[in-house]
Amino acid sequence: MDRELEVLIEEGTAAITAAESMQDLQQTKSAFLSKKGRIGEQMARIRDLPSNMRKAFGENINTVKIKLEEEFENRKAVLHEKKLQEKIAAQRLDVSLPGLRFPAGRYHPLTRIWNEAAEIFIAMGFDVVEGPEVETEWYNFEALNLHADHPARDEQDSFYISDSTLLRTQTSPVQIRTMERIGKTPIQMVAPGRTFRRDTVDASHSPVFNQIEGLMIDKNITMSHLKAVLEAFNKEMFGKDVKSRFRPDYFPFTEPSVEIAISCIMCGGKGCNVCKRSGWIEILGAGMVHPQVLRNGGLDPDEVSGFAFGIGIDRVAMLKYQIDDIRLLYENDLRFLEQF
Amino acid sequence: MQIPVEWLKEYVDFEEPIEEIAEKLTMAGLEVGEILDERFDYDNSFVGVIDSCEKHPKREDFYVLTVGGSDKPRIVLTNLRPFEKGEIIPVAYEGYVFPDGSKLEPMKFSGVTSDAKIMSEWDIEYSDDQGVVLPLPENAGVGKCVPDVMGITTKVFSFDMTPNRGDFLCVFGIARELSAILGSPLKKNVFDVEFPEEKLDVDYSVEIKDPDLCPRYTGRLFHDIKICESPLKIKRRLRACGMRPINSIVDITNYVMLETGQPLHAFDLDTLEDRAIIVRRAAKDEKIITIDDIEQELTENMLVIADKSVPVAVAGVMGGMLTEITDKTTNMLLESAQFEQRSIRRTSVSLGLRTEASVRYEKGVPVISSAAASNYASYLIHKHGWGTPLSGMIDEYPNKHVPIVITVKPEKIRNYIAPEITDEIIIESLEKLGFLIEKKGDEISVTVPGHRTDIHIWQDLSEEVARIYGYEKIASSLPDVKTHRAAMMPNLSKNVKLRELLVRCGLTESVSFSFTNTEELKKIWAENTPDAVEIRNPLTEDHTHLRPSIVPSMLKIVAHNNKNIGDKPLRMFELGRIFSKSGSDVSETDSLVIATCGNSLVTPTKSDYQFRQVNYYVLKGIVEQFLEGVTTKRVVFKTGGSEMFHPYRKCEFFVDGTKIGELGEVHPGVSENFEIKDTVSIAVFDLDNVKTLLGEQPVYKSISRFPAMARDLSIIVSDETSAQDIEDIIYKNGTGLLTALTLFDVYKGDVIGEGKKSVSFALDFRHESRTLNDEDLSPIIDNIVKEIGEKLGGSLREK
Repeated sequence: MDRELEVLIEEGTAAITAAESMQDLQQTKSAFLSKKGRIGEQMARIRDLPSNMRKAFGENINTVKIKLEEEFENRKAVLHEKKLQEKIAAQRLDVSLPGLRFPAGRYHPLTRIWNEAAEIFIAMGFDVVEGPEVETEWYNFEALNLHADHPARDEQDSFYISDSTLLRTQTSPVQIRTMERIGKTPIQMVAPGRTFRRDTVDASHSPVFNQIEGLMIDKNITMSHLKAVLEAFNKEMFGKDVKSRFRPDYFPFTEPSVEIAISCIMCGGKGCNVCKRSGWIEILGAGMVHPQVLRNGGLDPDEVSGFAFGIGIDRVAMLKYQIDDIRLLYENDLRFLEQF
Repeated sequence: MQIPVEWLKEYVDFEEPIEEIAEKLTMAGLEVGEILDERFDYDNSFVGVIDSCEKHPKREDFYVLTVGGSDKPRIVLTNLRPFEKGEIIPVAYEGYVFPDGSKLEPMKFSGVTSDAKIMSEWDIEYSDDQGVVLPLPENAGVGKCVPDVMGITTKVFSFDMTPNRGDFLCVFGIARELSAILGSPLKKNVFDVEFPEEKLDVDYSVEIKDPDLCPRYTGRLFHDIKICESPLKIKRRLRACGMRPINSIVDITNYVMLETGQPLHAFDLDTLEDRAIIVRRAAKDEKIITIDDIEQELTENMLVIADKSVPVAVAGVMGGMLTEITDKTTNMLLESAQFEQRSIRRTSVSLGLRTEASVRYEKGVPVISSAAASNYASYLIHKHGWGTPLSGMIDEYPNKHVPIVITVKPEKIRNYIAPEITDEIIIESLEKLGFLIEKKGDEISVTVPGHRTDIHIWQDLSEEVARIYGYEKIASSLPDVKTHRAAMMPNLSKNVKLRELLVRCGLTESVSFSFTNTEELKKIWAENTPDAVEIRNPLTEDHTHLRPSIVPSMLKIVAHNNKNIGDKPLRMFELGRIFSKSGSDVSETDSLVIATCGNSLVTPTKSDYQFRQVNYYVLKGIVEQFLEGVTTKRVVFKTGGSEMFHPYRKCEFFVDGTKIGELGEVHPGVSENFEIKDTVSIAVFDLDNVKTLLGEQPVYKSISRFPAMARDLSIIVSDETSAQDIEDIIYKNGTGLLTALTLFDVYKGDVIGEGKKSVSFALDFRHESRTLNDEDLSPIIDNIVKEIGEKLGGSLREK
């Protein structure tokens, strides 16, 4: 290679390496590699050479060109990386400053329980239905064997709208309405909803509260099925270690009737304030649907049987979230609501 | 219902600790709510040790004892005998309550003050003897409470009864159940008694005029009635059961009721006109003064016990004052009767009188026990010498008890409870409870004992079997669920979806009562207060109506929080039912309200400008975002809305011409009524229409491969013109090609001129199958500008 080309490589390489910015580098590139640049000048010499040398010279120039282009690309990469590093260095943040945020919304704790319970029961094959809050005496009481002079009415002091309509005291009327609506078995439903009793407000009573009614009717439904379904619910809702206790109780619309308690989720059954030192917390009322109730719903108790249950949503929420005063659920204080 | 354990032990033997007995009863359905101590006022007594015994300085026959073992040395004066140092004696000190209710007070006797006394047997109701020193057992620990050391206190079961088991409201009934649960036979039958009678020497009569309300009435006469204090055993048991001892005869009627469950009533025979008992419905406007000295106004639905002319008792509820037993009573008529449950309950409720008797009657007193309980009372009265029973008890029994017989295949019970319930378990359980079983082929015929007024059908029997077998022992097995896709009712699943969208919009959910009152409604709708459904018997003055809207609840929630959280943003929603009158019916629907208050700014976008940072726009933004989740259709906002809003800051919104709701800042006057300082904005939705939209399926439109053409349009219009009107015109003319329209600036200022504003929009056009060019867009833009000019008087802003 002739000396001039060697000088060109040296100078070119030096100039490229010396470029400290992309702009410098671009200028250097055109000074050497463009048509009017140093390489271009050398190319012009080719015409002056004897023809037998032209080919070798041409190849040599090409080598120089490739070499310099290579140097250029290398330098470009170095400068790019340098620039990136500078940019990054300038972007140092106090990462502990508060983030810019869009406020989060929250579900009411009762809705959380509602959703959770609905999900559990749907997975077990129960439809989720609803019924009116203003009910007739027939659906709320009579059809459920709670005639006007029944002593069990003591616990269900009601708000009346007219002689025969009232705010439902329980979600159980949805049992009858569902039997009538479907008119055949199998029936498998839960009906969560609002209920009303003339109870003065205090830490554990509210005139407005919520229940989930449940009903399963088919051929040969037994108490053994009742136990299994409600045990499963308790485990899903309160944790797989929770035990369920079943004992006799009385409801006019079930026979036999069952009261169900769970092992105390605070103390695990050892006894504490929440379970009044008994180790158990009453959580559900249930039973086999009374034959008269089936008849009132238009079904034949000689053909089908079933179980029904009622769960207090407020009570479940209070237990799960350790809320010690039912009033908090209806006060809608943001300092409370924002904890869920 | 409270029952002392020692009384139960008179009937059933058991060795188990009473906590275990309580648990067994509870698990069989007879819930022991609490185990109480018989008396709580045995404090202030202790087993004392004598430190010194000195002669009284002035009275020779008295000694002054200093006794240790209590919190401080106690001084006792006694004339019984000299005591030795170190002797152990039972001592009651200052504050001790004696069986007659009197309290021990310090007393001064010839210059010596004592604050304690040696206890007699009477002092702890051990016997009636007041003179003898209570003999302490050996090794009685010094300092311990005396009745505890004597072991005389009993535990008391406090039962939480279910309303179906009237037969549990007595010692005998509970003993019978306990005997079945423990499998240990009853030691005696309360009704198994004998007593002598004297020959009846006077005429008297019992007549039942209303046998439908009184299936049985027995009346027995007594002479030589002695009214005195009852013995300690009776008094202690009455008190343990929560009743107050009164006198021998009243106590014995209560005692027999507690033991047998049969209420009794004693009349002073000589006060009954013609010595006649007539069981009848009260006449119109009849009155009676009951033993609580209250004049009761009776109605024709109420059953009374009358003599020849006037009511002498409200049947099954309370006796009358004029015929009650007094100190002067010498002749008595004892009533033991059965009354119809519902009638007693109705009477008791309407008179506001709940008594031990009415509570039992309304839950069912077995008709078979009337005569038996009368016999038992006669036996006790005779035994105590409080009266002489006469022969010839009248037993009017028009509706004879016919035992209920239930015939059922044991298999049916098995198929109802669980497969492991064998025939043997069924028969054995029922027999333990006193049912008589007779096998007939593959069926059993079960005779229900007379005291079980709650058993009517085979399902009732199945509960008895399950109870005695033990609910806990029944094996659980999940039902075979046929292939069935469970789901929520569409309305509910839409509510779930809506709540999810609302929470995603940064809103927090509230849940409030369904009540309101007219005052509250007037605060919002002064002129057009909605016609709310009234509650007939409200609990409080502020909860007199069912809410016709969620707005009042929501404004109260805002007011409550406004006080607590200062200017922190509040953004809430409530989705719940509202109620309205619909003829004579009530119609209920779901409703949705959103509220914002405080400086609730969304993170500003680059095109945000000062005057949009008002509450109104914050809420409108939330509503827009929410509705974007509900539907992909265009929502149109138009000036308008109800009077509760600020007149210039409210709008109604529509989809496809259907109103979806309205929103706005709450009228400052309304906010003031609710004492809210900051600006509140509220959105109210026509939820049915929202739900209809939510149910619609979106349909995919193919995405054009061809580039979009963008155009910006700045329109100058008068300040009052709403941007929506301009948008409507742009949309109308852009049909088919316009794919996006964004309002990005509103400018007011000198350049534009007074009373005007410039509104800038970015428009995107796109053709499905080719690239657009200027010739495509020019006519569209021209038409838009032309129509804006014609309809709104607006013009294109020149650059």
